[in-house]
Amino acid sequence: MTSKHQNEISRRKGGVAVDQTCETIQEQLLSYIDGELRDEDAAVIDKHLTGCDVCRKEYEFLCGILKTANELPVLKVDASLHARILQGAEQAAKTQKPFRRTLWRTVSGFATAAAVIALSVVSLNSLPGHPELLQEELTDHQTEINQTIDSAVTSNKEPTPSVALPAEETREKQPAVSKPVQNEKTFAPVENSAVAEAEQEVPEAHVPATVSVMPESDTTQGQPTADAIISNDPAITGETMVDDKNPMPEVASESRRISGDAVTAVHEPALHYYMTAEGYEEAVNLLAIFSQEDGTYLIPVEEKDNICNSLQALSGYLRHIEDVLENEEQIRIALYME
Amino acid sequence: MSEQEWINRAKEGDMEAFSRLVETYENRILNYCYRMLGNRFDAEDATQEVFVKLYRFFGSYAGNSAFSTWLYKIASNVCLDMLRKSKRTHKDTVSIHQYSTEGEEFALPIEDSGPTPYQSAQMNEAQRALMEALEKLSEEQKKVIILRDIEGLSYEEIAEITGTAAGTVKSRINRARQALKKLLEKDKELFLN
Repeated sequence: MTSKHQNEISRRKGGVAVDQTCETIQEQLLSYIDGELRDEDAAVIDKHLTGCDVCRKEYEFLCGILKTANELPVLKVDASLHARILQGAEQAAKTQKPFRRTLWRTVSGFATAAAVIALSVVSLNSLPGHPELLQEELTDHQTEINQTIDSAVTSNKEPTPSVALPAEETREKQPAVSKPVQNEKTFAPVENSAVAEAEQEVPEAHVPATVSVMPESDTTQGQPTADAIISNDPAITGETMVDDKNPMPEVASESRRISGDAVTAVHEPALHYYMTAEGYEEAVNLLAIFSQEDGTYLIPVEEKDNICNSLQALSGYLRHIEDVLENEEQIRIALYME
Repeated sequence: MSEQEWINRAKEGDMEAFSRLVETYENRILNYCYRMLGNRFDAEDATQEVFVKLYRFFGSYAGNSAFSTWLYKIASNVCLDMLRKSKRTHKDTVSIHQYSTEGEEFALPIEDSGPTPYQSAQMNEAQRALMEALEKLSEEQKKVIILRDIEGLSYEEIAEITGTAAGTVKSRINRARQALKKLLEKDKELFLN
C-alpha cells in the first residue's frame, strides 16, 4: 500500500467514510495474503483486521478459497495411462521422419492446397491479388507461387482434387521456383481491375465449384475469418496486398455448410507463409508446441504478439498478421519452404 | 543423473530418458489438464497428447526456460485447443432451435442427463463449488488461477507459460481471483471455517 493510500485510510478513519476504508483494505487483501505488501502497509491491514469484523470475514473468505484450491484432490496417472503415454511417444517415434524429409512432405502437401486457394481467390474477386501470378497458376495448374506477395482472401474451402497437383509434381517444382534472396521490394499493390481481368481468362472448369459462394460473415465461432496467401519470393521483404478499401471478408461457416464437415473447416489453415528454408526451419521450431497433427499451427491469441514478433524477425514479410489476428481467438497458419 | 542429463538424452531420442521424464511430470500434467478440462477422460487424452508433442518437438526445446514451464506451456495449449474444439463441435452438432408449424422459432429444452464434471470426483462441497466456479471463468482467467493458486507456480513462471509480462500476469490473476470470489459469494459459508 502506498503512503497515499495510508493517508487516505487515515483520513477516512477520521470518520468521513469508514465503509470506504474497508473497501480500500479489501482491495489490498489479495496482495496482503500473497505477502506482497511492504511491512508497514501490511501492518495497517493487520491492525484493521483486528478491529473490523466485515473485513476479517472477507479476509477469511479469500483465505478459504485459496486454501481450498490448494487442497483439491489430486489425480494419479495409473499404469494404463502411463503405458498409453509411452505408446503414443513410441508411435510418434516410428512415424517421425528425419526433419528435412518431414519438411518436404509438409511443403508439398500444403503447396497443393495453396494452389487451390489461390485459384479460389480469383473467382471471389473481392480483394487485390497479383494477376500475373494468378493467371499463371490457373493456366498451368501448378503451384509456382513466385515473384509476388499475394495477400488474398478466400473462404475455407476444401481443396478440389481436380485442381490439386500430385504431391510429387509439386515437390519437383519446388526448387524451380526458388529465387535468390534479395532485400528489396519488387512489386506494388495491383488494382482490383487487374484481378478481374485475370478472372476473365480463367477457364471455368479450373475453378473449384465451392468458390462461387461468397461466405457469410460469422465471427461468433472463434474461427479464422480470412485466408491469406502470401507467396513469398524471398526478394520481397514485407509488403502485403491487404487493401483498406477491401478488408478481408469474414468467413467461417460457409465451407462447413458446403462440405458438411465442420472438422475440415476447423483444420483449414487460415494463413499461408512462404519462407526461405532457413527461416522455415526456425519458424517450425518456434511454433513447434502449437503444432497440430495436420501440420498446421494453432496459435492462441495470447501468444500472438510473441509469435508475430518472432516470425516477423525471421521473415520480415508478415506485418499484416497482427491485423488479421486482432479479433481472433486463434488462427491457423501453414508454413511453406521455398 | 540430473534432470538436465535426462533431458539431453531424451532429446536425442533415448526412450528410457523420455520415460523417466514422463514419470516425473505425468501427474502434474494430468492434474493441470483435469483442472482445465473438467473431466478425467479428456484430461487423460490431453496428457497423452502433451507428451506426444513433447516427444515430437523435443528438439525445439532450447533450455531457455525451465523444462517444467515448457511442459506446462504445451499442456496449456493442448487444453485450450481441446476446449475450443469442444465448443465448436457443440455448436456445430447441437441445434437447440427448432421451428414450430407456425414458423415461430423456439428453443428446445436441453436435458442435462450426466453428472457435472465434478460430481463424480471425491470432493467436499467447497471444492466442488470452487471447481464449478472455475468452469465459469474465461479460459484465460481459469488458466492463470489454476497455474497460480492450484499448481502454485510463480508469476515469472506463469509469465513464461502465457507469453506475457509478469506485471500483466499479476493483474490478470488479481482480476481472475476477484471474478472467482464474486462467483463464490453465494457459497461463502463453505469457505469460512
